[in-house]
Formats: sequence, structure tokens, C-alpha cells
Amino acid sequence: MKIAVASGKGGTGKTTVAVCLALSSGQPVTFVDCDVEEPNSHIFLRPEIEGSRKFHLPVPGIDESRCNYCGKCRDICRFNAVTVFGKTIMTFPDMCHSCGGCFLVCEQDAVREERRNIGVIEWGKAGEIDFFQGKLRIGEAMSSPLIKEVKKQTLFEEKKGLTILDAPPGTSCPVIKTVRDTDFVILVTEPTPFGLHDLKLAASTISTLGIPTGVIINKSGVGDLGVKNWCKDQGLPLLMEIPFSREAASAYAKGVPIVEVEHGLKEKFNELIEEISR
Amino acid sequence: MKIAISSTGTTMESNVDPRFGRASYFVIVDPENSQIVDVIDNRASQEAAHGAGINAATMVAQSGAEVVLTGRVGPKAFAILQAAGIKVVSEVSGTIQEALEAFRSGSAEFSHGPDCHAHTSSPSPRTGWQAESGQGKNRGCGCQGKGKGRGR
Repeated sequence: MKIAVASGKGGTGKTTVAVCLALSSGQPVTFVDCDVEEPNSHIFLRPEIEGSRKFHLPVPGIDESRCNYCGKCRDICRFNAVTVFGKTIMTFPDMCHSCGGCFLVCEQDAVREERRNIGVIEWGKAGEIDFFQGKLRIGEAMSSPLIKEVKKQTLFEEKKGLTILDAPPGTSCPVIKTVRDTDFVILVTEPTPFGLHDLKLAASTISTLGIPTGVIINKSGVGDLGVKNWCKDQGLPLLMEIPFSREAASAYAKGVPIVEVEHGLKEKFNELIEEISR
Repeated sequence: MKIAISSTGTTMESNVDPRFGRASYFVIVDPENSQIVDVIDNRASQEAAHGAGINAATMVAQSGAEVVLTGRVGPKAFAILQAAGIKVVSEVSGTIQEALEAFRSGSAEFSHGPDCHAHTSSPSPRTGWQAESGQGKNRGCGCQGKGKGRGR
């Protein structure tokens, strides 16, 4: 069972929920932090990192002794990572999305592979939990390939037991890359107009992928009924409400998972996993 | 000699487009007789997500222009123009006619670096454009993104 935890809005409690799920299951758990720009689930889970590897993208480098300045590499590139004018060829590796098109179209064999580091993948153990995370290089714009690679590191395809993926906020490629090929998506929101607005965006993103989806309202008790009413209208299952409480906020502020302080919450999450798995 | 001027339209009365990469047009003018010899349609750049400056600079380089008159140029476009041996005058405004007259009066000063930073950046030792960064003219590029120019 692979469950992704996502949201449109940042700060709704994705990591809080993902960590609760991981700590509440009776099954062997793999935890994958796919929020590679701000991976912070390790603060709750405190894993012991056992290994790491740098991840590079293939980008074009030009052998000018072979280049005949035909411009085919320039013309195939949608991202303007290569340009040719007169007898000059220039590459812009940070524009490159590593599609490999320029390598293929070059008849002179003048485009050779160079590598551009975009981040690092780390893995280890948090108690019994198999822990994985990606860390995007500061200033790097392309997180999706790193997310894909982190998932690959977990042997995602064959993975047994329960896999929890902590997604980045938003509604674009990094989120899609995280939730793709999962069995269920939990959208975490808060009961405010802000939460509702971004929940609508996230739900419409996920609906394009056809993955079963449910909603958890975090900090329930504050705000308004907008989220609840909307979920009802849409037929989107409301899986759980996590009440707003001083104890939870205080635990969070110290980096302690809220299932450790909120009585009965672990059982609720365990039931939820059972229910989703059914 | 040919001069490329970023423009909002296609005539001598059109205004200079303050953006280089996402300018609507480039009007190619012969300064000897103030005639428009060519127009590059760059409107597609406004739909492009990335690399508009690279594309625009490539087209200008291919046009055979020796000088560019425009508002602001980013680092990648500037690197290309520099590699093509094209001189850049930035912070140009008014109509194409006015810009051309100002240039012909000899009051124009050529830029030594880009006017704003790239919207994305990464170390890339082979390309050289980042050697230009840090030489911006203490102004943003209006992108509301990451591209704030640093003073020099």
C-alpha cells in the first residue's frame, strides 16, 4: 500500500500527518520525504542516515572540433538550453530538462554528456522505519527528477508493506511526480478560506490522475465549515479531523510527533490505514 | 550597419519595448537612412516559460545587427550578444525614431553587463554567463521573481 500525503497549501500539516501514519501502522513502513526543497520530516522521525549519493542530470556539452553549427540541437530544445548562431554554439545547462533530444539529433556526434548535480539522496533507519529523503541543491529549480530518483532508491515498484510519501505543497510537476503510482492520496487541509481555496486546486490536480483521494482536516475547531461543506458537495471522503489543541501545537514546536502526546490518535491513524487498505 | 531595437510595434513611431527577451518585435534599422530593413516577430516569446532571452538574442545575432538598443537585458541574452560581438545600449526609451536619433547623436553608452539577473541560476563553468552576474544596474527586471539586480 502506497499512500501519498499532499495539499495545495503549505503548512497545513502534511508532514505531521505523514509522520503520524508512519508511526501508527503495524506493518513494515517505508517513509519517503519527497518535499526535496524543504525536507523536514527527519526532524520528527530522527532517522540515522546510513547512506547517501549525489544525483546528477545529463546535460549537453559540445565538442566544438566536431560541431558544424547546423543548429539541430538548438531547434529541438524546447527550453533554449542550447543555441547556435553563425559559428558560435553556447549551452545553458540550468535551462536543460535532460530530455536527451540534442544528443539524438546531432549527426556530427558533437554533443557529449556532461553532468549537473541537482541534489543528494539519503537513506537510513528511524527505529523500524525505512527512511528516504531527497535534498535539492540550494537554488536549483528542477526538483521533479530528484523526486523521481528518491522514489527509485526505495525500489518503489516492488515495495511491500506500507509506503508513506510526504509530498511538497503546490499543484505542479513535483506533486504529480510524488503521487504518481500511489494507491491513495490524503489531502491535508485546514478549515479556513485559505485551506479551502488551495484544497480545491490540489483536489483538481489529483483528480486528473484518477487516484482515490480523501481529506484530513487539521487544526479542526478553528475557522469555518467551508471545507466540510465543499467535501460533502464533491463527494470527497472526509477521513479524519485532527482537533486544534495546545498540546499538539506544543509537541510540534519541539519536533515531537503529535501521536506521542494526543491520546487515542495513534489508534485513529491505525484504523484509517486499515480502512484505506481495504 | 544594422541596429536592432526592441519594439512594441513594427514602425518608426512604435515605442521601444523595455524588455529584451520578451519584446514583441525587433525592428532592424539602417542608421544611415533611418529605414526599417527587417522586422523580427518575437511575440511567441511572451508565451514561452523559459529561455525567452536566449531565443531573442539568437534571432538578433542571426539578423546581422551590430548594435542593440533596448530597455533591460538579462545575463544569458547578454552573454549571447557579447559572443556575437553585438554592442548593447540599455535603458533606452521613447519611440524607435527617438531611440535611433539619440544613438546617432553619439550620447549612448554601451553596457558592460546585463541589467538584471537570470530567473534561474546554477554554476555552469563552461557557459560563462554567470561571470556577468553581479554587474546589474541596481534595479529589478520587473519579473517579480528571483531576478533582482545587484548594485555595482
